[in-house]
Amino acid sequence: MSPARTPVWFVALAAALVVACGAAEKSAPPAESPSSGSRANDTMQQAAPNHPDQRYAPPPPTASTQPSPSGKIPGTEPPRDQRTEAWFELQTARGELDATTGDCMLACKALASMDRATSHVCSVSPDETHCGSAKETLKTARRRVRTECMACPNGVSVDPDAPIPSAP
Amino acid sequence: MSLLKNKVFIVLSALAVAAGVALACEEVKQHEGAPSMTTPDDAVDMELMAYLSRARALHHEATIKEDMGDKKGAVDAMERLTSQRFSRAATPEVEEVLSDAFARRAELELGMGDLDSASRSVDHGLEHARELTYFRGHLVEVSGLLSEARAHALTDAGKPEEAKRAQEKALAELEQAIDIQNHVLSGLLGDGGREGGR
Repeated sequence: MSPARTPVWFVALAAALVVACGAAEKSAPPAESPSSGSRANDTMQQAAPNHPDQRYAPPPPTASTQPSPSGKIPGTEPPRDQRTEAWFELQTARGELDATTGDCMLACKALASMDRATSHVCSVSPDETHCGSAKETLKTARRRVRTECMACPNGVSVDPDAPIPSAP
Repeated sequence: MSLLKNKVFIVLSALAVAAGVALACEEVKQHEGAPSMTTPDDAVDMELMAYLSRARALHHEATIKEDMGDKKGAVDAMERLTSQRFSRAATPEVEEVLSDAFARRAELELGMGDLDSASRSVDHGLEHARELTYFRGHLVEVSGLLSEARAHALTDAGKPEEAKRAQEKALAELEQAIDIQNHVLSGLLGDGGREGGR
């Protein structure tokens, strides 16, 4: 190889390497997350690009050469931010729903336990001091559970005026 | 002509190398984003998942036995659950499973009239439910039912004084159970709507 040809070979190879790794870099998700938060949030954001729910994400913005007020050209930003945001919002909503459902399950179990205990308090001591007080507490608890959870499974009543015990 | 061929060859070679490098880079990036290999935490999680799955299965088995009228079989299922060892003691999930299983076992034993065994099960369960949780409240409730059953038995046995003491104990335990569950509700639902408690 003559000295005159060597630079062409090296320049072509170097350019190819730069272009190749640049292309791979673009297709990889950026390491930086859009917002900092809890560990769970971080996990969700990292998992977002591979999550099946990304099909529900809004479409990427249409290409345009008009600069936006922020100075960026719309359409040049990667669509991942919007997708991640939508996915994150969906997961947050799901998390809230799960938490509510989980809390109500336990609330209903606690209410059922109160229901049974009140019934036995009234069986052991039907007087106003014990039975009356236990009934009042149960009524209040039923109202609270009805407000937050609407209803309970397995026949546990959230109606303050329902018989005690409400479930067999 | 030969020089031109050489240049074309060089450019094509460079493009081929570029394509190869692009694929390699992409693969590396994908591996960077993928979860790492199994860690000790994963192993514990797997064991916990297996434990919880087995607990669920044993509860189902106890329900089936109960439905068949085989209370002893249901107690045995709970016994197998409570005697199962878990490598990491005092895991909150395991503690809840154990206190719940002991409570169910105590209820079954109470239903069979085996008050002493039921009392032991409640005591074992309370060891796994030291905080004011639903599980502790449930165990205290079962303890109240147990004391109430003792009071009835003592009355039947012509021991009114002892029966009265058992009755008072039952009352105190049942009211304590109501207090605990009311506390649990406050924690779960907040204090909104609470118009007074015990």
